[in-house]
Amino acid sequence: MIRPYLAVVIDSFRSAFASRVLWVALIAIYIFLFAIAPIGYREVFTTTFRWPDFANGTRMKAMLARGIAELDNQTDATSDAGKTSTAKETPPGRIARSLPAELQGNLRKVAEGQEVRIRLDVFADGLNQLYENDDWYDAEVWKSTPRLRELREIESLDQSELSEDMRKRRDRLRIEAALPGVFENRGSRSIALTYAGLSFPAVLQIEKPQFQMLLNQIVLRIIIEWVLGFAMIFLGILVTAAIIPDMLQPGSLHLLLSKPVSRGLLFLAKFIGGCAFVFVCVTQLIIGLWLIAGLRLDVWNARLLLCIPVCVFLFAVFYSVSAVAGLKWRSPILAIGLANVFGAACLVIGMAGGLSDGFVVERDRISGFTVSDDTIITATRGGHLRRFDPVQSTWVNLFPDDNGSSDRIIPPVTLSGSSVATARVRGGRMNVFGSGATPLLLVDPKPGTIPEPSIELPAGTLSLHAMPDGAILAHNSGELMIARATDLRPLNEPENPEDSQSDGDASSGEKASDAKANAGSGFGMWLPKLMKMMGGPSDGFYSVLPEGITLTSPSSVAVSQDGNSLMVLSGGRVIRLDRPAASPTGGSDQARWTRSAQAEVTVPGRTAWLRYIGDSVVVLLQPKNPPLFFTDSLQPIEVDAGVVAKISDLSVLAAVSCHSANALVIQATNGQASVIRVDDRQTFQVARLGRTSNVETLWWDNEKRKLWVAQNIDQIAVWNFGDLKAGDLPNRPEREIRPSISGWRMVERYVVTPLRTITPQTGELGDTIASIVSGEDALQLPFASAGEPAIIERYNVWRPVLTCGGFIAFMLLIGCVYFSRTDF
Amino acid sequence: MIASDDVISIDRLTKTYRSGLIGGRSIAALRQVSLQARRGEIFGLLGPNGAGKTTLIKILLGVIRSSGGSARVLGHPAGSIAARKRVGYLPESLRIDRHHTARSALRFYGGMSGLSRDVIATRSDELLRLVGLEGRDRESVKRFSKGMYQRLGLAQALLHEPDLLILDEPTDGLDPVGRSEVRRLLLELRSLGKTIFLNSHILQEVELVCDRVAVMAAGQVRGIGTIDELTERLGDRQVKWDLAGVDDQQALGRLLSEAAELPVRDGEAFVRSAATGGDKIGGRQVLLDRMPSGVVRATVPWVNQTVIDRTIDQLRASGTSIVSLTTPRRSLEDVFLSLVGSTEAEVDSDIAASAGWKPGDDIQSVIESTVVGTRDDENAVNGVAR
Repeated sequence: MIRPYLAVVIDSFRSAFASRVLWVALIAIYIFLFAIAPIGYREVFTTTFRWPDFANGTRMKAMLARGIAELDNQTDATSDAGKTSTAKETPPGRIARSLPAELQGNLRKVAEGQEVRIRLDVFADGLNQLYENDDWYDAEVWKSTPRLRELREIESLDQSELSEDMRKRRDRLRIEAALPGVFENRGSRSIALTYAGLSFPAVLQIEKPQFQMLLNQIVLRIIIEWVLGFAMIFLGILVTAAIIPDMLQPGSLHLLLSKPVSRGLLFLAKFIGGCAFVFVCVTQLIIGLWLIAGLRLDVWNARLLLCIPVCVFLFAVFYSVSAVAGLKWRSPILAIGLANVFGAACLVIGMAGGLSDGFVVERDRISGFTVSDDTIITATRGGHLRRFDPVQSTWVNLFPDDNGSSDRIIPPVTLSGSSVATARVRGGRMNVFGSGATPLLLVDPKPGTIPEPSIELPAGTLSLHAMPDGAILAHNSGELMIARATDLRPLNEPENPEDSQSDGDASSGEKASDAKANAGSGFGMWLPKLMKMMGGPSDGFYSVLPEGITLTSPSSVAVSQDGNSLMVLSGGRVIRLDRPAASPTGGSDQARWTRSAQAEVTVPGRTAWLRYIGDSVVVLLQPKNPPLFFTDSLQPIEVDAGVVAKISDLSVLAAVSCHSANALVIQATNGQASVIRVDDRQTFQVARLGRTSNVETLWWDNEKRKLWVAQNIDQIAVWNFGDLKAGDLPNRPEREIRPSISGWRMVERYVVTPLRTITPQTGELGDTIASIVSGEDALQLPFASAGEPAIIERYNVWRPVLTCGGFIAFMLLIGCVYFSRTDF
Repeated sequence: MIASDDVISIDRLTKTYRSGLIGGRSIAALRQVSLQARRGEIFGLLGPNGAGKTTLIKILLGVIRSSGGSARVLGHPAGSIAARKRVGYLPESLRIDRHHTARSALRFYGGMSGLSRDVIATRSDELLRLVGLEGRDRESVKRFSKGMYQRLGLAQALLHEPDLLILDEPTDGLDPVGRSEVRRLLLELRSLGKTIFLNSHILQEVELVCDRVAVMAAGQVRGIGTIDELTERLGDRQVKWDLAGVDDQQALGRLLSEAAELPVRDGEAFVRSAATGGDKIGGRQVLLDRMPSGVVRATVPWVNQTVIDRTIDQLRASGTSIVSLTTPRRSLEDVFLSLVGSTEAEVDSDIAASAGWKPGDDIQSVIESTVVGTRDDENAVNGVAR
């Protein structure tokens, strides 16, 4: 039964194998594999500074400028007094003093208030020169700096035991300790690529797991997409295009048709023969890549082998066009030409779809939102701030000059008193600090109002948190700062005289203490500016972190339900901060909060989320690591392994605490939402929330116990959690808001999307490949300095498979019908 | 009526090729063709190019579908998989992919016929020896001559031991020795009970091996039967007299006509000058031709021996000297030409009419345009158009 068709498949395969183009392709494959086979790597200590290592260059500039200015002032003062002293020396000052003279000069200018732009690579070069000697280091001065365990371990070793690399590593850690909040979180080890045993000059400052992730998510994807998805398929079409026209030669075809075979199956067998040939070529290349990745780079990723059928599938899309063209016109040249024209058409439609995504859909995609007095205020990825108009059922832009830009809108939060706070960071999509000062914007939810500027936000603010008392907490790369409710008013409103009195009475806090410490100094007038540059509190904000604590990446913060505690994740520590008790003098409302508990955690990767769940806290880790549960006093909690496994399987994109429901809702990268609940006996449960999909972001209404879910770009669904303890999760939302869409969105929905659905989206198969290779359903792009990722590229895994599969089936059906019904 | 031992039974088979966007132009390639090939015989199919032979074979093999009538092969509908399982076919211009050797080609075609590898290997050895390709079976077919291709084609046609062999020009490209071997092979296969349906242009070959023959022209069967039946029935046998001492040719003509009891009209001329090469001059059934030597050649239709005897007596009585008397039997070629030649003009007019020719049009240009515009019908009409 199957033997005749098997014979045809094998013969088609042999026919293709007889092609000279094939042998050229095979030689090219093996040259490529032999060329990349000598690539290897070795792990080295992370020592050399490079410009991407700086998370907050402005802060570094300010700290070093302040340090050098303080040293200068001290030296001036002591020389005037005729004696020397180092009592006031600070680590940043000692580092600044050891930097190249030109850089020192620029830092002094900064300290004097001049606008001096210093490139980050100049800083990197300057810091790298510190490795030449240890004169800048003084153990006494460094005593107060937060030193990582790694530094303590290296310093405990005997000096003679230290290799050159370890000595440099120790120096780097000392520099990082001296400048907290400045550097990106880097691993202790970096990857040095080698070729045939020779090291490349540049070092990849990523650790081995990140290196492997980079290989899986980016490098292998690119190789497979370009080498297999492009070159190999083109060559495959060249080689196999003649299979069908050759079959149709009269002396050949009539003999084939005289055999006891079905014509349709004969055509399919020929088609499969061509695909089988490509399968063999692709298999050689992918197995070669897999072996090289495993043997040379320790990346034994068996999922890579799954790319073989995907690549053959991609080839089959183009070959189906070539086969039907060859059947109709009996010309290999025409078949090749039509397959290429088809490929170009797919590319054009794919590009149109990409442009539509980028310029139409992404602009409207909700990145954060809040609800105040039943009015929804959203921030979009396109830099828009919008209010929902329920009458017109449409989104209304709140910025008069809103035409989409590179601005970043900080997700809005609802303050007590129903006003909404947000901010528009100019140029913030490219640079977390943006350009220029960023005022806090207060939005009245009433229709017809526009955002009113208020006090200036601390530089580099990533997120805002509403406090129950009406205050607002700003979180940036190095600090947590609070502005009191009384300070949150539009600039054009008169200041409350009582509040002014209160400010004047401030007896603690960095602003006050620094002002006192520097009173009378020559550069004191520039200190507030330097502090702002460092990401410190701006006017109206005060720091809540205890002295000596600076946030390090990855960082995350959670506010307790009563607002009297903060849980802070900073690097490898979880810290509980408590609001200081009110003093009888009434001056404690700007005091730093006190550390009441601390726990050490290991944070793999660059992102992590710290959230309350009931009275407990959980640290959600990436990528797919087990979560860590703690009590509110930061005692570890043993949680059922099944629950831990379920949460580990969620690829977290965001999480929101539902205090009043004793729950936590996790938004996964696949667009689904899952709910973790905890009962009074500290028993946790995990369940998916209904049939949620394409979730954009979440917001929890603590008072009404409702979860608001932004989904499908700009739609909203409201889930009433009621009393979760009393029953199961709701199956469906109680309310859905589907706003009317703009003209371009109509074009996108009714023209571009159907076009993309009926044409095979071969370009999107790259997403399928990436998903297979990485095992992830989305690519997370960590935002600079942010602990939590803000940008995600969700892979379209199934759409290209469906469109391409449907297309192949359609073309083969046409081919079979035509071949069966035509007289030859 | 279809007999039970008919391997091929064709009954009023029709095939019309249509072309143009809505099939507006049509060409009748087969018209009401009926024939039977019996088990164990070699059946020859003759006809000029465009007669419809290839179309008929394609229908038998299921390569194309008929427009009307019916055809059965080995008791199954022509073209069905059951029929094709028991048919071996050698196409006219066999093309075997260049990546094959003789052995790999047999493996491929054997596989397509559903044979196992073991059976293919065993049969390949036998057949390669039989067709004279032993020792060259590992050689790429790229180096094969036309004759070697034909031998390989024959081998593949025989590989699955079919009951019916359909051979389209099996000796095309073979040298005389090769042709002789193929003929011997065909006779051997017939002795084994195989039925062979042979399409050939080589009349001598057909005459030598075929038990029965059908002559086709213009999509119709013009004659069918054994060679003897065709030459007897269709032969128009004649008697040729070479006579000397003839003074009055008109009188001789009347004598021969009357002796053969043929009607003679007044004023009928019986003389043709061979020397001048002028127009044929003769009565309706008696032709006289004076040779340069003075001998008169008279051609008279054959009636029977009694008429010949009587004519001899009367000639001798008239003083005419009989130099020679021959009664030649007509060859298959004569029969073929007489059947086909008379239809050429008919074929042209048929094609022209089917192509939309109207009185006043240039008929040849219509035919040529039809040929150029109808790719699928090329085989059917291009011979006629030339």
